[in-house]
Amino acid sequence: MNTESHYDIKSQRKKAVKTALALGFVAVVIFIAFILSGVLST
Amino acid sequence: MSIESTHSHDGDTHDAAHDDHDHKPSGFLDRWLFTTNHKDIGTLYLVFSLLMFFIGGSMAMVIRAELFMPGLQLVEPDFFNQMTTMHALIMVFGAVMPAWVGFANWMIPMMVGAPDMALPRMNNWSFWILPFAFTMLLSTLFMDSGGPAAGWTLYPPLSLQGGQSFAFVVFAIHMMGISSIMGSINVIATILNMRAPGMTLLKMPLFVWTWLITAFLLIAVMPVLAGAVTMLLTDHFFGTSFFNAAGGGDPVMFQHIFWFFGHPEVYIMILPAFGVVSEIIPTFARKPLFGYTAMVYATASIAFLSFIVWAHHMFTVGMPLTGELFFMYATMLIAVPTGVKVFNWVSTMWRGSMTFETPMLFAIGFVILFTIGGLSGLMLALASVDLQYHDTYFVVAHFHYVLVPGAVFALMAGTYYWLPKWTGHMYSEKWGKIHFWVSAISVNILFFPQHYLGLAGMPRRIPDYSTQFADFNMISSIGGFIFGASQLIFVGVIVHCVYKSKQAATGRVWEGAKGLEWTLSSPPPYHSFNTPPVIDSTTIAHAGEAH
Repeated sequence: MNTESHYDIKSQRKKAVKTALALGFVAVVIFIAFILSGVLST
Repeated sequence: MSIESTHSHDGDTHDAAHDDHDHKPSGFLDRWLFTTNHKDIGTLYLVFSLLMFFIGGSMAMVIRAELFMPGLQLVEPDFFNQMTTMHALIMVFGAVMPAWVGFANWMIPMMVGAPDMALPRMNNWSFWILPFAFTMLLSTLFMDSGGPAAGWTLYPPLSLQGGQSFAFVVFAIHMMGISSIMGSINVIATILNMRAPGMTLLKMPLFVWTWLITAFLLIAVMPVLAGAVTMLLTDHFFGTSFFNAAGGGDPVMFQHIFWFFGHPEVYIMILPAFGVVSEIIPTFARKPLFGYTAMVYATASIAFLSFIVWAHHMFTVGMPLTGELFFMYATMLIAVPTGVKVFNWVSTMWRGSMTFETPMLFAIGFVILFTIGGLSGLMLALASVDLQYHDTYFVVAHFHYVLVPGAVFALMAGTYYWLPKWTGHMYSEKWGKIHFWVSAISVNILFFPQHYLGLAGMPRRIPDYSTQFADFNMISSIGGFIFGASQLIFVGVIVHCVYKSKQAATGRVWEGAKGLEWTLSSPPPYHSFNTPPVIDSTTIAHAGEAH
């Protein structure tokens, strides 16, 4: 495995973590917003 | 055609093991409990889902045994209700969904040329949550108040009349949801960020595309289910009234919320099946997939439409005429992209050099029998006649055609297709074909009579029935027993392939197979594609369709 591909994988993983955090944030927001909407409407 | 004559014996496979030595952990716990390897985690998911398939299947056997004759003979009605509820929860969340995540783990990194899933540690967590979730769910059967018995839809007020075990059910559903969301995040992060250079989105195999769209569906709807069951929990134990009419709540609202999750959930189980079938048919027809781009757009269209059809599950609760019309026409619209898919699979086979190995048999069985489920779905979409079909065995027949010879046949097709790649051994083609034919015949004996039972008015989720329904129920139960027993052949074929088979698989396995996974040895090295692979028309199927 050369240095260049090693570097690529590292940067790919960094981007992957950012994608995962964004998606996780979306999932949590849906969950909380959903329950809040139920609480506020009742 | 014999199995030997259809295998490729070419030596052009890039054996990555040459430049990447295996570094499997030596200890059992290190290898399986602490693993971060996508192949090992894929195997764990697949073994777990097979176990759940048999646990859920044994509950189906109890149901069919009770329904073999009119009258109550084997179980109490309350236990029968627990069986129908647990059967559904286990098959949906424990068998089919984890099986697809297992396929995703095994295949997506190899198909896109990635060394592993993007987030390997989270991958480990995603899997190991599941055994705890299902132990908790199954443990409710041994509690004083028994397991959940209100159907997998958990409609209030019935579900709120259960006992203390309901808290365990809700927590188990939360854990399954967290597992699914983490798995989906991993799939999306892998596909969007870890593809090999040159693997553009419209060069990806269809299985990868269908899983990408499925993962977005999961992230959108699982939090909704989690929110809904959390509200049920607080209604049950903390005195809130989200769905309690006596306290100003609205039980019908729960039905809307549940099906906003529940209908996309159906597509979560079936879209990866479309992907697997789209991989298998071109291989054994020895032709590129007809209309690859149209297939991608059709999948996305189905996913979009799945969000705007939920209320077709609840025409009988009453809604404005405009609402009925909207949900009816939106549901019927799904037939268009689904029809595109069926047309493209048939067109791929048209004038192809077809052979009929076990994966192809299951794939063709899928296309034919899933289409029957699709057609009965169109009948149910008609608001005016759904009032007659609702909560009858016609609905049971419909969704079992979609999920058993649909999703489960696709899982079996995929298992036979990639098993030689995973294990490095060929399975017994003779026993694979016997498994297919016994399954294909018995599944129709099992579910086809249920259409007639439903049309004659037999309600679902009951342990007893009028004597006029006796004959079709007996036929259905006999089919169920044969189908259940025939799955032991499946296990036998897998066990034989893994431990006993002496016939080594080549890298490409099937002569018509194209895709990066086939450029690796069989079994693939423990760590594959540490060096990005070359993407061209000799290695992947859709290299010529770059956009």
